Amino acid sequence: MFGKGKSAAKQEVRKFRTVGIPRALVYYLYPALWETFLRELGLTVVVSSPTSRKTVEHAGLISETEHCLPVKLSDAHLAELSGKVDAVFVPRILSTLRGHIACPKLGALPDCARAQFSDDFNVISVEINEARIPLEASMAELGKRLCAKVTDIQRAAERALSAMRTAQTESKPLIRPAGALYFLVIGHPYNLHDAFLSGPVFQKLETLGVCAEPVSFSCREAVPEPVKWDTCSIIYDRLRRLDPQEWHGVIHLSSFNCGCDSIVSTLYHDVLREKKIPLMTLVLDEHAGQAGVDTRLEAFVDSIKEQHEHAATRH
Amino acid sequence: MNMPQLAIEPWGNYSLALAASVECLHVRPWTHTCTTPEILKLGVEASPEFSCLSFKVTTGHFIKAAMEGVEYGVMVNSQGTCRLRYYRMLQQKLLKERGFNLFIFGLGYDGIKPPLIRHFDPTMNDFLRCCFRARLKVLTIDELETAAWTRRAVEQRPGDTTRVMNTALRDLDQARTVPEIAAFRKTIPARFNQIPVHADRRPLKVALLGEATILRNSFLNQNIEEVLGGLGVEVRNFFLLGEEMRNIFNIGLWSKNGRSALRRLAKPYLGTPVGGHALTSVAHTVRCAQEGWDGVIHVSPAGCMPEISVRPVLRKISQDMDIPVYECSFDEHTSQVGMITRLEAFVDVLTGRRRKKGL
Amino acid sequence: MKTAGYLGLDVGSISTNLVIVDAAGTVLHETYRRVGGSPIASVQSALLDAQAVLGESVQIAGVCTTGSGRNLIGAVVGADVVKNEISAHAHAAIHLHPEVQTIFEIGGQDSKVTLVRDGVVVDFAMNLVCAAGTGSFLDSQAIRLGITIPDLSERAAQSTAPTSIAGRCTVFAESDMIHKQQTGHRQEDILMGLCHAMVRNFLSNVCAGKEILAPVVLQGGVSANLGIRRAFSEILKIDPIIPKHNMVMGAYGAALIASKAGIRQTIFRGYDLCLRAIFTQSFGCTDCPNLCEIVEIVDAGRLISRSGGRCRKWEGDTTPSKEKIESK
Repeated sequence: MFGKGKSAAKQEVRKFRTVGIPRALVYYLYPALWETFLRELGLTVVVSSPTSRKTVEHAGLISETEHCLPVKLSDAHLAELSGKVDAVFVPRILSTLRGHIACPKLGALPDCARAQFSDDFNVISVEINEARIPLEASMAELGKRLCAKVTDIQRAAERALSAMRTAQTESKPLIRPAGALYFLVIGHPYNLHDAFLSGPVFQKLETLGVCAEPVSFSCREAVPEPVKWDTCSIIYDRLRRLDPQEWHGVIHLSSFNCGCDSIVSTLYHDVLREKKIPLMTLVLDEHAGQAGVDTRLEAFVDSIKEQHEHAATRH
Repeated sequence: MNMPQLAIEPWGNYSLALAASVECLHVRPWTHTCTTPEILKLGVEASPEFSCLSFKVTTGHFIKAAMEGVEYGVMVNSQGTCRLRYYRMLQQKLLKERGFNLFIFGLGYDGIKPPLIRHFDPTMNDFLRCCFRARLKVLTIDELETAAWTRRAVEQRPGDTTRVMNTALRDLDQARTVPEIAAFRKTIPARFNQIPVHADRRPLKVALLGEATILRNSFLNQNIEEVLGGLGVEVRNFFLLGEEMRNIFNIGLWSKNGRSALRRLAKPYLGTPVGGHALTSVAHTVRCAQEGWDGVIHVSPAGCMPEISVRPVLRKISQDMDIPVYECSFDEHTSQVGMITRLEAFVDVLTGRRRKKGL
Repeated sequence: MKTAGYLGLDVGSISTNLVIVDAAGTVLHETYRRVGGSPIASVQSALLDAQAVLGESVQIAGVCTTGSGRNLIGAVVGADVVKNEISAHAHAAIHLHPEVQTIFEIGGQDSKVTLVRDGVVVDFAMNLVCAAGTGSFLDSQAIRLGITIPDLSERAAQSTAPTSIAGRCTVFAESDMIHKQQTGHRQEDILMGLCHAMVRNFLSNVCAGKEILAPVVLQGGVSANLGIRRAFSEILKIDPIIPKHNMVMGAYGAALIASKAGIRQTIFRGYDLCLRAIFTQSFGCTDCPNLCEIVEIVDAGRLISRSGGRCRKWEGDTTPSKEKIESK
């Protein structure tokens, strides 16, 4: 046991040439950041391929049954990197926002990756805890572990941060034709931005003539009361400031077995009920069929349209 | 005299001690050692679908209490990462929506004089005396539980230990003062020694680890301690409130089960506390493997955020250190028949291992 | 001279199976029957059958019951050993195929995986609350399509391009299946898609995280289904072994356990019990808020067993009911 611990520590210092990043969780929490950072440090970065039906099916076979869908998918993405890279980057995420905490599952990710894939690759990790440590410091620590020079680390960090800012603001501004419905789509970034999971929803909304905007996570401020979980708090903050005149509906993309959502969705519900903005929760799971999503969205949009027409005729 | 009532969440047999602890507040405690099917049903109906069983069941208790006209409740205030942090807020909301006037006090992490104490304002003397009494009761129950686990595995007539345990708990409930409790505590060995046992048996030793609410609530865990005991297994439930209290107040900093000791044990496998009792589960699994226990049963509510997230780690420990770990998830649909089947099969696996090793 | 026979009874939620083996483990008699109304009645008729077939040549020397009704039936017939079905199934599979490393057992409502290394069970798992990876999943879809299970089995095996059917539970799978029908998929392909879905549900609900190594034995009611066999070999890339007696492995395992238990004098209550009126009755114990249901077995008017109750105070207590309730 002792020997094992020592060699693991040694490997962490060794220089790796190719490093993998699973296209899950951290990839969406910090878009473009870690990818750019590692690349700027001179490493070859391999990002696992986008989620597909195959990923989902593989996740079902290898991952713990009771995990939530995003963690299951993360396992499948890790498995895909096996054999392609020297090491995989799985950070320990404790908080991504000042005054907040992250979902507890994200804290155990590197340990789980080591437990499940110890035969396949090394796991490089660094603690991300923005409640205590600035993101730059986490990057510096990671650079040090990869034996990079201080100047290189600083340059890489700057480029990475600007790449993240670009990625977060890249989404095209919503064109607002008169008379159309405006929906806000909320959910954890790893649900919203995984095209396999959210794509059918956005496409369907488009065909229904609805302008849908995913909630933005680029803001770095939120009040930690009453929701302490980082991404949920940003969403809650946004919902509290939502103008009922401007927004006609909210769609919550939750994932099966998500512990955070099981609690906060009732809070989302309360806020929106006060503002009289309709909310629909879609629970994504590995078996989701397109037919179910379509029917629900159609019915939701129809009911909102009817309400509006009804209100218009009364006036 | 019309004393207000205070509902306390169920903590298994420890409910007796907790009930004793609030006497100084001049309230009547309202508590159960165990959940009933009715309470579970109330909780399940009121709670969000995907919330964990622990939430559902504590909610059920508060609703039942409110239906019986209880005015106050008390619930731990958690600062942790898991859903427990939001329990009180949500339960208060659910009660209000149902038109109940039960106010839930938070306990812990809010200053030296929590709102509960401020509200009822007991005299210092009363308060301290109650604390001592409750602490002693908790330690006594620790001792009772431990004695029952070892005895039950070797008892000659099934059910003897449970019967002794039930009488003992009733007697303990009667003991009100510190000297009375101390006197009761001295009778424990004699009570359990009168049970006829198979002295030559070497029972399997199995550790019960995981989430506290399920570990402590024999209704939720399908009476796992007694079922295993009946199969001739010596269990050790790793949630003992006395030990837990030492940890909370950091008195046990250097003890075997102190926080830093556990963190050190878990270190090769888990680098963060995660939340809940996840780190404890990992650390104790490592220790059980080192100490040569026959097996570990990891107990958690279905979908429990911290406990489920360390399952791959537990599996790795099981492989590396050659100790069987059986993972049990519980929810409101868990059937006792299925549970017993699994436990029997697990015991068969452990017996097979012993035989193979020639022990 | 009479042969010593060892009786294994597997009383599950769907079927009651009976196997009698001799001391060497050879099967002398086996029956598989669906549970009608009462498990006791179906055990009685299965025993009568056995008596009729074997006659006086076989003397029952040991009895072992298994399955979810093992305790009840154990008390009714007088079982020397009462064994859980996970161990019983594994016992039978290891006996027939000593080299086996993985056992899949898929029945009507239960499904389990058992890992065996060097002939010893090292790990197992069983479906928790969900029946999506069990036979009932196929049953309900077959009913929806208006075909029988043997029909489904045969036609699924003929599929050339299985349809992908999504569904965690039977209800969702059904709606997706209807959707696929409406989009014009061939029925053979849909049937095979269902088999794939069931096997996937089984693998992800029950087997996730378990190390599945060949040889794999597939047993239980569903193992007769050709579509399921095909789905397993396509998904796992391992051809499962279907053992002899695949439908009655639980009872076979139980019989083997009885034959090896070293029973000196069996407590079997004799074939006569098939001729008596045996029934169960229950009452709610109101001594504590748990309100446990206490089950009593009455054999020709005489109370022979009582069970149930968390506090165990009723266990083994067979004094007539009325006064007992009053005195407690």
